[in-house]
Amino acid sequence: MPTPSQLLDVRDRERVAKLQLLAREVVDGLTVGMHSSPHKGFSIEFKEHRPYVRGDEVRSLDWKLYAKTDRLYIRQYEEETNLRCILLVDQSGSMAYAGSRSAGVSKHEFSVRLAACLATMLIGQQDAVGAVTFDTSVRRFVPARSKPTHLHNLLECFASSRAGGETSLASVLTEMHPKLDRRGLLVLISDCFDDVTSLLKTLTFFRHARNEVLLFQVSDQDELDFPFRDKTQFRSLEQPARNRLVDAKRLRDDYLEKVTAFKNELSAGCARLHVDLVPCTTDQSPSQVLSSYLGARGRAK
Amino acid sequence: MTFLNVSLAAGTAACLIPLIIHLLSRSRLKVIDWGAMHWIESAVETNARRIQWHSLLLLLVRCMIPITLALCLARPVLTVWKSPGSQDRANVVWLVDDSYSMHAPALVDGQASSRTGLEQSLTEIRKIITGMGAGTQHSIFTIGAAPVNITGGGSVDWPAASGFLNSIPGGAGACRMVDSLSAAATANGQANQPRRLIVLVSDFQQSQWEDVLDSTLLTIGERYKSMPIAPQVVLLPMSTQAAGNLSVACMSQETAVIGVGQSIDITTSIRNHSSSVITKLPVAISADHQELSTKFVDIDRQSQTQVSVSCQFDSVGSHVVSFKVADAASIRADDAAHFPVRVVDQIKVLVIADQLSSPAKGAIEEEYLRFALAPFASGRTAGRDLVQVSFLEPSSVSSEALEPFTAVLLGDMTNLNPALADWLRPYVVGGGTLLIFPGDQQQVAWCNSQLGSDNAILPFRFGAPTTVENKIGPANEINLGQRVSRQIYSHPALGLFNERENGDLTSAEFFRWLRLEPLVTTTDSSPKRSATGTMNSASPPTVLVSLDNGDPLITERKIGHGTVIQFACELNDQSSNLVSRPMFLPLIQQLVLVSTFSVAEAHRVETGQDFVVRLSDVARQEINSKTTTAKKNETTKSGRVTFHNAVIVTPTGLRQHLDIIREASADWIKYPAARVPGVYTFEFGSTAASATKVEYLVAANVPDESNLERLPRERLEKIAELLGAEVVSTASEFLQTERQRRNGKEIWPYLLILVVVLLFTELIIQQRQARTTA
Repeated sequence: MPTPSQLLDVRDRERVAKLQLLAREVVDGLTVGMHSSPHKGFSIEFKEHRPYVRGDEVRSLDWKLYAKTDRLYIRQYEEETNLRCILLVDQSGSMAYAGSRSAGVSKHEFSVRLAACLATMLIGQQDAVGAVTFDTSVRRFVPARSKPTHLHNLLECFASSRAGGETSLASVLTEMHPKLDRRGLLVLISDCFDDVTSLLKTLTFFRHARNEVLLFQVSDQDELDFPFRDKTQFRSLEQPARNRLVDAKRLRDDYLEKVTAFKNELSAGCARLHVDLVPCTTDQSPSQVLSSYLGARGRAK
Repeated sequence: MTFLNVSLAAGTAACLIPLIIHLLSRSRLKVIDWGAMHWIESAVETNARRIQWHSLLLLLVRCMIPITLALCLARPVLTVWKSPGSQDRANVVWLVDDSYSMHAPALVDGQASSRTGLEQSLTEIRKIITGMGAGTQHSIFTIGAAPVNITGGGSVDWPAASGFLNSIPGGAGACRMVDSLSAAATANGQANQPRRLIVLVSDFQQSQWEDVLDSTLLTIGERYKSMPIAPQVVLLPMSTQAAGNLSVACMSQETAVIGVGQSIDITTSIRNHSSSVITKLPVAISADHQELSTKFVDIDRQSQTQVSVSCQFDSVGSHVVSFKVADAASIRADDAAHFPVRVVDQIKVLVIADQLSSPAKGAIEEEYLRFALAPFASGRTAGRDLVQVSFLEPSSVSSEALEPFTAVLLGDMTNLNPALADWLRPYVVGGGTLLIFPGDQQQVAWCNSQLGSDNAILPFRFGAPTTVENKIGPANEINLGQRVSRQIYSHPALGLFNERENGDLTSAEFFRWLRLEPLVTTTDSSPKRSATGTMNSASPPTVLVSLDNGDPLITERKIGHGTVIQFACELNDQSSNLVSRPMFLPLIQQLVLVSTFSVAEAHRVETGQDFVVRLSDVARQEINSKTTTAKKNETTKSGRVTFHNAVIVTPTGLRQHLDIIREASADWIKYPAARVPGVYTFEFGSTAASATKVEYLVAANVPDESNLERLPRERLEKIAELLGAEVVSTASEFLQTERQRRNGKEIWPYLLILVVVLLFTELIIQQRQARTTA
């Protein structure tokens, strides 16, 4: 398992430093940052004019406009806050798979690196970042802080996580829901090998609470195209007692059919909930994935 | 099942090779620690059954290939078809249809060939006989007209059998299938070989089988099965061309007897079996092979027409009238019909009656009989009677006195001769005709006691008289008495009266008659059999004419060669008005003539029946003059002698010497089973080269034999089922079946095909799997 300093290489650090994460929706923040706030107040970012009504503060009148139009308008501003982000990293057994084309990088390792990138980037822009590692339940929880020194805690949390155990995304998110008392950004990094319906149902709660949810679905390329040809015994990483002898060549079509169905179901569910789904594979670089996503996000905005 | 190469059957163990490969491939597994197990398991759920099915099928096919190949090399033989005792020597009874319908062109591959059906069938039989090889014994029956074993009553091996086949000329009359199948059973029962076969080779005409009942066939089939060694029955139908055919057949079935100068009308029927109309068909009519005339007829398709000719002959003796049509396209045996005519000078009839003791009564009866038998002489008119009548009193009769007469009439007698019965009995057995009329009570009692008890020749006993009183009723109404019941007469002597213009038997009224009662047979009442064999047997009595109340009026019984005809009514005008009716004359004449000529002798028979000819006085003189003393002695002892100066010439030109049978003071010639239809000429004379005396005998064909329509396949199979037989089409099929019976059936060719099929199946399964996984 890499040490915190090994999680980000020099290139990652440089690339992350240039990235800026802009939340799509307004979040509550304790500190004024680069993210817009729903609370109208004294910020310098003008939002709109509206006609004066009785009871409005006199100080918010736009006198210059009055002079021009001889009418009373109230000047409104957007308040900018910092982001409160929780990184949920899946450390279930299935995340330990490292395919032949991923240069020995397992999905878990990829997830940890991705989470480190995000943490570094967000801390760097003075957002509050927390972390959760989980399998069937929450294994470790690091509350969100925005201090630069908090990054070390986060990286240490990621570096100490070990893949193992089964996956239970729905129960973990349900468990995490009370702990996220304020709206913010929820970043879930997982292979999502769980029941999609219950996962989406749980994500619905977060979305109703006006949280933005970002889902990085981490897969190995082998899992997506099933390149095996011979008779193969597949042994479960989560439950070693479970194994299945199959003729991979003959099974491939049915397998790919299941994968496609899963991906379609997940993407459709995420689109419905306005959850950003970012499929990524372990043969990619985490920073590359992140820059692609943020680029696309910026264009969308 | 057995194997010809058992050691190679061990190759079936090669089926283990695919299994071993399968197990080895299982042991070289690649193990992967996998995260997305739920996708694997989900995919396996839908894929597993298909994969398993494909794998198992492929494994099965791969195992089957070496097994089947090994079995194929081991040459397995299925013994299901093998018959018990099939390795043993066999006796084959051949029933060869040599009827003239087999002269139709044979069908080879559906096309008419230049060979006849008989030639084709003989070729097939030779192939089978050769194929069965040595050790098999053959009995060959020709079944046309009547079944005859041409292999001398026994069986022969295959070279000899082939020789006997060459001697079958064919052209015989219609087959009697039931007789033939029964004869085959008898011959099979006498065989010594432990395995028996009956092979019927025929064209299976519909007409041959339509009269054969299923129950009869079933009985024959049961008989076969119940034999100690049940024969295997095989039907080998020969295909012949069932094209159009013309046939000619005489309408009358009896020999005509006429006097010199009398004319006779002869009618023949010409049938067109084809589906085309024939116009202006020439019918050549000839008498004694001299052409008389030619008539032209038109015949519609599938119908018949009649041609008649009136003939008269100037010379006494045997004559034949022939009708012949030109039908070159098909069978020739039925293109001609022949009708024998016997022209007689006079026959001698003796009336035994008591003329003197009862002058009035006897005179009346005598006059009636004289008038009936010799009308020209009685009427003092010009003309020649066929019958010469003589009268004798009972006391004047002797055994020698009866000999010249062909018929004897017993009239009213009072002076009864006790020895008369002893003389009459051999006279009748020897071929004489006896007509008995009842007389007074004394004569009736004598007849019952002397002719109706031991060795009875009387058809019935005379019973009590029945009288219808008062010819004139109380109201001056005429009491009509009893009349003859109206019926169709089947007896040849009475067939004349089926047409009213020839006389009406029902016009006669009967007022007094005797009831005829069945004979009381306390002992064997039949005449004793003579030393010469079967000609002395007695048939049961038949009623020729009966009254309205059911009482018999005229009855008949055949004794040996002769006939006894019994009347229930006296010949006088008190008992009936029969004697005054116009039909009385033809009635008495027909009874005497037909009984004299048609019963004792058989000049015209159907094919398969025996000719029986009574030698005339001329012929007897010839035999006496030319037979040596030694032969005469032999004749005396055995009753049988070969008549070297006389031969019978068959329609095929074959000349055969005949045996003479002396029986009951008469000499007889019997020609057994005339097989070929046509005219048989019985010639005798001082030298064989210049025969001067001729008797024409005719074997008539059965008209149905000319109908070449084949039996439907369903009916043939039904017949085979009833007989427990199997149907084969060719000699090759027979020999193949026979080989199967002997050795079982080799199935390696089928296994080889199976190997190829399995290889293709394996290829297809693999291709299918490759397509699935591609």
